[in-house]
Amino acid sequence: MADLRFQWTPYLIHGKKIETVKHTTIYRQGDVGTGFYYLDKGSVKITLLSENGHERSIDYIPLGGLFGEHGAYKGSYLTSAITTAASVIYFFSDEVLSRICQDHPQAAVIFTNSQIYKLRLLAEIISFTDSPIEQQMANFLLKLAVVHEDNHIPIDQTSFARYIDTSRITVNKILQKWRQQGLIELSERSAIRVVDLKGLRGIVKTNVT
Amino acid sequence: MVSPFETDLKWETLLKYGTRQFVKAKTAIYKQEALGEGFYYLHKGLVKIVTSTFKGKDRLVNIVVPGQIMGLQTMDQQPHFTTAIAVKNAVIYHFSCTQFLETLKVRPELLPLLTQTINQKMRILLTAISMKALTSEEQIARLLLNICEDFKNHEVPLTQQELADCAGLTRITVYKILKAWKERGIIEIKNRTFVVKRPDMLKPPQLTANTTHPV
Repeated sequence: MADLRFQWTPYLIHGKKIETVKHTTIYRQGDVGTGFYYLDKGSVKITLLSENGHERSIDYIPLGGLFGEHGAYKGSYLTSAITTAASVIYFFSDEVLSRICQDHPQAAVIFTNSQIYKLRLLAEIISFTDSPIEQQMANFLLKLAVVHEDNHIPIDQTSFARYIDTSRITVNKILQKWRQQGLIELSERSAIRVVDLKGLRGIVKTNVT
Repeated sequence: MVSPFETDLKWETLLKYGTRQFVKAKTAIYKQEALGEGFYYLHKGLVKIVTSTFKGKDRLVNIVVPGQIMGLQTMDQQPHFTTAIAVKNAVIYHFSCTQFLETLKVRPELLPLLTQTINQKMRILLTAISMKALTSEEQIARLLLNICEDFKNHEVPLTQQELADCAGLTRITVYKILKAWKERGIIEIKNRTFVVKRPDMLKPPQLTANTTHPV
């Protein structure tokens, strides 16, 4: 993902700038798509609602990333996107996307790669569904460190729990254990600082047969 | 003038860019972890897509029917995250990713088709994720409905074992659920395949309303 971030920046002038407050729904699962978005400032979470009403987070969009690509070309939105802070986003309609791609052929490749990245992200969630919670958490934390290109990760424990699809208590217990082991630091509220990347990688790799 | 972007382009019209290949039943078309350099269009036959979880358990992700694309994930030049195995003898068309991306630059009208195809793949993966929140019975019901939609046919060409792999359940659980449904006339079982008689009964409100013995 790191190399996908900000690649869309040259085309922002063609998009429609939108400023939103926290807790704004950008698009809702099931709605017919009108286009896709770019996150310029703030933060956005992506949630998935299952048929029986259970909701979980499946992604946090990094700054400079695209989201809602599935809503392009009249596709229906497969997830919901909600801001978790005041945000600045750019909207691109189908018509604008097509025009950009016609003028800048490389844009079609960036757009496609961003979509493929989302597929990979989902496949990864599936591959971890039968793994222990601690392993899933370590993997997710390492991924966030890569996405944010920083060991300081701005995520609260409730959001973390919703991503792993477990309780906040379980997440807290494991984070406290890691803190004692010196793997992470929890000095700030709503943030985790990864201290020992190697140690976390070790947790991800255990149980591999 | 009709906008070139509202085209009804389908993959069949692009087969000239692909290379035709024959694959024998039970052969892998591409393997998980292998570096892919292309994707495939299934012309004839049936292909199953399997993924191995981190713990090493195999899980059936979906069944590819003729007219569908598989292996698109390697468009970004990274390894495959699934394995595709021909269930029956198959005729496929191979497309080189780099070549396709070059074609895309010259023919931007291909982008909607590509986007829609990726959208379908995304839907499949999201279904697999949200399945985890459902009861065993709801999972099997969702799977059967998806398969019926894909095949445009109410005959399900899967064995109970394959259905179990698909949902990550045991074969015994699947057997029990199917047996209960057979008694209620929702499905009919004939020599190793089964036919969905009442798809409406598999949809959420009816399914839970009629469940007397939760599984």
